[in-house]
Amino acid sequence: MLFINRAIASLKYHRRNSIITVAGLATFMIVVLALQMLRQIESAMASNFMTSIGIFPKLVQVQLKLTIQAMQTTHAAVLGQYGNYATYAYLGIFLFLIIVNSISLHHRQSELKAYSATGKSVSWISLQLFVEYFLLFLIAYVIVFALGMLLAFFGTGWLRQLNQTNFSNQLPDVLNTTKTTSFINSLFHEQFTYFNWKELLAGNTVTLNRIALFTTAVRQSFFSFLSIVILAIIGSSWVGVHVWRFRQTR
Amino acid sequence: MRKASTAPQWADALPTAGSYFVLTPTDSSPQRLYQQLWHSFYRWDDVGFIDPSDQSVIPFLSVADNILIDSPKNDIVRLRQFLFDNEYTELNTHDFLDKPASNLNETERFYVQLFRFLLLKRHYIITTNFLDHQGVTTFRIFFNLLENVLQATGSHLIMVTGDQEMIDGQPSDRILTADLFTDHD
Repeated sequence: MLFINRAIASLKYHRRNSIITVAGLATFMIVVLALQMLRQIESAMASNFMTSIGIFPKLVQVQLKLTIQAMQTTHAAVLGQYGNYATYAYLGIFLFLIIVNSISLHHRQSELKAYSATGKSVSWISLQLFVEYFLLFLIAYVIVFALGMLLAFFGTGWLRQLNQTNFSNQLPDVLNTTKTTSFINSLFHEQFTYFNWKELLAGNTVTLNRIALFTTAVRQSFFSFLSIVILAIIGSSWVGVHVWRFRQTR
Repeated sequence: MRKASTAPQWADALPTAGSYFVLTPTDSSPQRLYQQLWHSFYRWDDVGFIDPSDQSVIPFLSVADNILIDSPKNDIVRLRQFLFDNEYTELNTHDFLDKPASNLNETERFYVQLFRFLLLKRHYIITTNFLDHQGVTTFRIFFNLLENVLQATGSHLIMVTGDQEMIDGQPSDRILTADLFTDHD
């Protein structure tokens, strides 16, 4: 029998564990995917803001210096925030897999005994368990792929709004001083740009390529997910089987 | 797990292949002696311990796949032929190998583990009274059948028992004392 045959039989037998694993993995992965899309939206807006500001004459740019600085700092802060959240989500996947695998190993001691009795090494057992979780990961990834596509094509408006709310929450009050406001009002009163100030701040002038949004997010995350599954499952299986053997012989 | 490669000293006391019996001392029980043996010798890679109360099976595989995980096909073919030739009443031999291992009884679990160690060519197989409730007649049929297999594979089946009746008919060189194992740890 091959690893893969055994793995498929095992997934069918341990159905509850499989469903929990797929659901948990898919949840975490869609969160990561959404965060990556938010990051892309946010960085597109940051660069768009700077190019739009570049249209203005030098004199205006000097006048708006404080505003521009505040915008740049906030863009950087928001980008960093998304990065942190993504890291937490990756860490979440890692811990989730370790916990699920440890609990399932506890329920699968008869299998461990059979593997040990036939002289299989700990590495062999870990590999067997990894093949099982790899299949689950692929199933979860197909789900995430579909959900991510839906999110990119139908949920972009919502993501933009989310990003905008988040951004304006973090933007310091420097823009609301009366001096700046009156200057900006006079600036846009003359209407020599194709956008107004509000639109510029909201990033409404940015057009997003939804296909690029989706493919970039998928491309950037797949191997991170895979390496986390490899690390978490092989690592926790290897440690878990050793601990189990140690407790057996006490 | 690092396994010791050197044979324990008692292995020299069993020159010919076949089944051996260890009568439990009166101050101990077969289960306890079996556990002691397990603790002393589980690291040795030429020994197999059969404990039918132990669920040492993978429930989602068939019995045949359980006997040797990653087994070469011809081993299972040979085993199938053997079961077919020696129709042993304990096992419904025609579907025993093909049924799922998820709900085996104690006797079936014993055979899974026994066939596993025989096919793995473990030279020493240690077990305890598994056939107690089945009476001496069943036991004799089984041991006569097994003797040939053990001779062919060069294996020693060492049975820890508290049942004097079981030992009565056996030749004296097949009866071992518990001291043999406990003296040289």
